[in-house]
Amino acid sequence: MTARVGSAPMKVIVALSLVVTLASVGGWLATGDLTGDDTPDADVQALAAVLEVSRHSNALALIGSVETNLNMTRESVIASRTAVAEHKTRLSEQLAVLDGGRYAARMEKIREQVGLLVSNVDRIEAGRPDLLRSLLAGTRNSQELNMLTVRELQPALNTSVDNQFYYMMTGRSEFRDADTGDPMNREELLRYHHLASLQRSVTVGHLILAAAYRMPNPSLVTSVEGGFVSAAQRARRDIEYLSAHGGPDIDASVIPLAERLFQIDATGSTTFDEIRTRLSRAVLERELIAINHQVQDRLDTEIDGLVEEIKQAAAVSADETEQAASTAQAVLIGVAIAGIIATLVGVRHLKPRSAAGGD
Amino acid sequence: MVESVETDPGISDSRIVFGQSAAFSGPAQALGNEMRLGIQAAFHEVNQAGGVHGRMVELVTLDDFYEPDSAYINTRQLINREGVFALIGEVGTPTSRSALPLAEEGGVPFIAPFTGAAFLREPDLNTVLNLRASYHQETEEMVERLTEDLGITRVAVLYQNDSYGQTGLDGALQALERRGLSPVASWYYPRNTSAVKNAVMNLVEADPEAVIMIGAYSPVAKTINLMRQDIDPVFMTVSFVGSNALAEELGPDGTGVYVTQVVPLPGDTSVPVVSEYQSALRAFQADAAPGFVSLEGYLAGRLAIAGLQLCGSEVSRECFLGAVRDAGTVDLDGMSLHYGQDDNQGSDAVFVTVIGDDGEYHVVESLGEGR
Repeated sequence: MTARVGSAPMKVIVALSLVVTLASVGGWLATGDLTGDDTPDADVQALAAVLEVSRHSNALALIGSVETNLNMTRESVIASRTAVAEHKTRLSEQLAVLDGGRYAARMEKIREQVGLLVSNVDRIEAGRPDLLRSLLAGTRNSQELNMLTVRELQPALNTSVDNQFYYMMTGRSEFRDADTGDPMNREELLRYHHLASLQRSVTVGHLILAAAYRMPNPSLVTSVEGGFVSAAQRARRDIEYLSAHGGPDIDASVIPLAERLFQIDATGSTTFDEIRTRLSRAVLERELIAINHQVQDRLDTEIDGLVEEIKQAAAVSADETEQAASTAQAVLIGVAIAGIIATLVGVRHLKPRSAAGGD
Repeated sequence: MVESVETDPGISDSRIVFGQSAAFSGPAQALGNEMRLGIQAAFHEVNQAGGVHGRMVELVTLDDFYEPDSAYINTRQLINREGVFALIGEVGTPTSRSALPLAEEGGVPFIAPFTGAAFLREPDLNTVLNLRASYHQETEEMVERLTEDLGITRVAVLYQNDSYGQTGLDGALQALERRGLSPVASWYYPRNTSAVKNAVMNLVEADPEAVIMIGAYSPVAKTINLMRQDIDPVFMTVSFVGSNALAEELGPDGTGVYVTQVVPLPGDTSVPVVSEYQSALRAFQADAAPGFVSLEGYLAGRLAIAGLQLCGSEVSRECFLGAVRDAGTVDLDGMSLHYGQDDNQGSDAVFVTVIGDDGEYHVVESLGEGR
């Protein structure tokens, strides 16, 4: 899934605004005499830099708003990190342009929010390779679990229970010689009991594991782990009995397959630990994305504030300059400021609206 | 993945891609493999003749093992990653049930699933084009023949424990109820297993005159073999069973087992489309034996081709679905399919066949002929 962005017409408006702004700034630079920080020229420069800060921070946030998902590849993760590095470089350059100007207090706040955003996006990007590996491993393990249980173990176990019960009830079995004595003897009853018990444990164990693979947070996983451990303990007793006293009606694959299912936990490893690790990474990523949205909102507020300050200062300067400057310069200042504001508004419309989830 | 500009997915200037999720491994693999074979034979036939309006017709397949979760994953992959134009020949009721919502959501044609499930015949579905008669029609035919031809009233039902078995059981119950009857026993077995012995004990206990079986070939064959150790009722099963695989599994013990069919006999070359099927099958795979399932697959492929031809060169999913439904009748050379705005099922035909001493299927007008 990708983050939703603005419409194509909005993108055109932003592009046009950007062109108008840059042309106006260029015109001003060509016709004016840029003499110092307190001149309207410096304001235009500051506005242009703010525009770039807004643009690159939004682009950065857009990249950082996408949750790691199975549609990503190692290559796309590397490409994403390259893009982040590029935006970070541009942000540093533009922030340097704004350093030392007359809007120092506002700039300090903007720099602080940009720093937070960059730090969070760096953490998200740094965590992606491991999280992607975990997601892929989780999907693979989940599919293997299904393959093992639904397509192999349960059919074999169901058939074995069916065979055993039929033999006990009718004395018939294609796996035994005819007339083998009382089919309802103690040993056959115990064998049926352990088979049926194993069947229940496999069903419960599989359901719990399958659910755990789909759970969204680690605490939920821990809450169901106990159920799996209980099922595994019960299954172990049944497996021990059936290994020692298995009858001819039991499919030979039942015991090794059941051991594989429940040894997932018995080895100490830990399917549940793996799931928890993956979910912890995913939860951290979601938290960072949520924080990024807040940072972005604060950054937008600060940039709006800076633009307002520059507008007011520019209005005063424009009055003072009106008499001295050429009409062309005054017009260019106005067009440049209008263009920058339009671009900022447009960029705001293009920013991500929501954290993107997996496929 | 097919590139497309301003067209629906799966269409390019040179080809049109269809997707199929079905069982190509596991206990139901004969059904998926045969269905695929028939579709491929139809596509190969039209491609050899230059394609449809110059486009080659292709099939992408994925194995779902006859398991609903895999069918869902496969269907998502076929639609989103492979970018197929349409889905065709899905095998099974539970698998179709999990795949259908994805097709409906994406407006992707869902052509000729190999199932007679009732839920696929709801008039509000936008994307489904069924080829065959429903399970309810098959079970109605069974009960009608049993009661009218043989005067049987003691009927039992064996069903697979999933949505396929349930829809067949529902059909049987309704057909019996219409005649003031109810089953003397009904029992189930788990999907993708042959764990039928528990069911067999219960069915034998009820001593039915006939057993209607809604299952796959392997467990159905095992049921027949086990029950015949104690009793000899009339056995009837639905087309989904996989007729040829059932006859093969039963061997000489298959004689007298009835199977309802929804397509003509694959050896009946008096029907033009069956003759064409045999030629197409030989051309595609010389050693392939004709069978009911691959014939249904071939007809599914022909239906897809007919829909594309109705659209002309400007093919879209909307046009495809609309063209077939608006056409009213789609003639597949001897097999007419009738569609309408509230009717997404092309054929209502149900034939009763019986396995003869020769191991082949024969159409019977009355069940008495086969006894």
